[in-house]
Amino acid sequence: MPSTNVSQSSDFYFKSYKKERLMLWELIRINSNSFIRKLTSIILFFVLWEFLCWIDFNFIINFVFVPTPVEVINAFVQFINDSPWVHFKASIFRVIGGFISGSLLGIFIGLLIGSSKILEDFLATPLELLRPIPAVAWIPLAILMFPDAESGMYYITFVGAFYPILISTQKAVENSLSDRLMIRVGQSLGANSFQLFKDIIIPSSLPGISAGLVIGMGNAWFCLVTAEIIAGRFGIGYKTWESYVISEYPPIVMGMVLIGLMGAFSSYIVLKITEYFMPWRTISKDGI
Amino acid sequence: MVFDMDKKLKTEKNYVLVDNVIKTFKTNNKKKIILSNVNFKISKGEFTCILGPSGCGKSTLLDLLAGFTKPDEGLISVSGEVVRKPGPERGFVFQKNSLIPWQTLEQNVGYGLKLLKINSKNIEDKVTQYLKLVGLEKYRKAYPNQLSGGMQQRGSIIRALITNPKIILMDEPFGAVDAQTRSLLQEMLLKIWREFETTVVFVTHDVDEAILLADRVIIMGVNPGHIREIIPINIPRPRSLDSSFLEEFQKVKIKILNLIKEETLKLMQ
Repeated sequence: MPSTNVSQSSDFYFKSYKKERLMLWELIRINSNSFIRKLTSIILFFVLWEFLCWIDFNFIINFVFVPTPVEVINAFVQFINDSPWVHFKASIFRVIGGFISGSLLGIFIGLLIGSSKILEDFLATPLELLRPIPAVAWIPLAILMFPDAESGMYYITFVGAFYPILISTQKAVENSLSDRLMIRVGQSLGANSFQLFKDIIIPSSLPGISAGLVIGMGNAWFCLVTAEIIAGRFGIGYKTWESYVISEYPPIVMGMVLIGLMGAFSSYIVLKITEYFMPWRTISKDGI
Repeated sequence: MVFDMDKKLKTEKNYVLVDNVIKTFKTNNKKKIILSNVNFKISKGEFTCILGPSGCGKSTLLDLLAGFTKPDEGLISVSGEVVRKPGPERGFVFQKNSLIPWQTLEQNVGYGLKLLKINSKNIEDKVTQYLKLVGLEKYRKAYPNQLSGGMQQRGSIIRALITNPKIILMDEPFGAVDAQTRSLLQEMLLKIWREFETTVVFVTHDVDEAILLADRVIIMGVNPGHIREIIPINIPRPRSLDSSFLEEFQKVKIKILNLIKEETLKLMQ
């Protein structure tokens, strides 16, 4: 039978589809150079910072009032010893709440206006007009429109997360719709509009949506300080703002660093979760 | 009258009927005629190749047969039914990269059956059977980007075949694979065609490929796209790569090459 011949010869062409599992120490060994480079860059960054504070650098940028890394670490230790969990919990809830509502609504509306001209005409213009408004400008309205400060804060982190997710989803769907080949594949196999949307358009839009989610997550943290300006008592952003109001500088920088760290970490988690839903993608940056 | 039409459509000889088809495209508010008065018939089980210089509208003709686009005038029917929209009763094999990237090979091959609401156990059995047919059963869990071009095309062929279509339409399916793989795929396609007794319309720009595969070769002309000549190929079957050394093969090849040369020269004037 010719088919058996074909199958034997095709082994040659087949790239192994089982992902290689490496042991931890192998990973460390392979990445050790890169790891050392990254570590060095962070250490150099702190050394430079400490140095500029130490010499009271003052040329265009003024380091005289900037707290040193050691002071920031001290502030952090003090913060940790002083029941930090309420602050973390409050901030994390506000960010996650804004992010989840922002992603649900952003993806939903993005899918609608990405795939329908009529809905785009109805919805896109007012949304576009509201988009450039910075989170801080929403504060007065957030206070007026919502029953309590807490929901106002959810609203501000929501605004931060919503727009990048909305725009990415819309553009990703439009991009998928321009891929005539995949749509024809679906049609010729008998898919109706709903099935085309579910099996072709949405999966092909996932990479774009994923990018929107990662940016949206970062933006939600971005808006946290703004949101917590209206907080009464708790939150990392509130802590940062309060320290500024009472002119206590090391905790400001500590708050900034914490927000940066948690923002980066949560964006990473979002990235990993979305990658889990796209197992078909293999990305190699070595061969460009 | 309607009854007459039905009768006309449903005879064996008129299995595929392309009747006075005209197709135009609009570019910059100017109507350009792509196909003018195209007429032909294909019998059940026949293997037809469509050859022609680029720009003669052969892919447009295939799109019309698939139902991706509609003719401006005229009628196209397959097995007595007028073609109105694409569907699984007319399997389509695209030029390349047409396996759905986010589905594994088995999901791709079974997708048409899944859309027909067939239960998953039956789908799995049938998918296994078809994967074996083209020697891909080992790669059922692989994603398309992990398969070579030739393997992807084999996957597309069985994906089009698995819903038991009335006709298979192929748009230069081996145009993007290397020469060695191409001849393997051609022999495999001939074997499948014999086994399933399907009707095939195969668009290509490769004259050798057309002669090797076809019962009849439709040569298309340009300015605007039309049917120049339909040439029957009387080389005995089963055919293989060796068939290309037969005298008959060479004779037909020269004839076809001359026709295509004439048409290509028209394009350059």
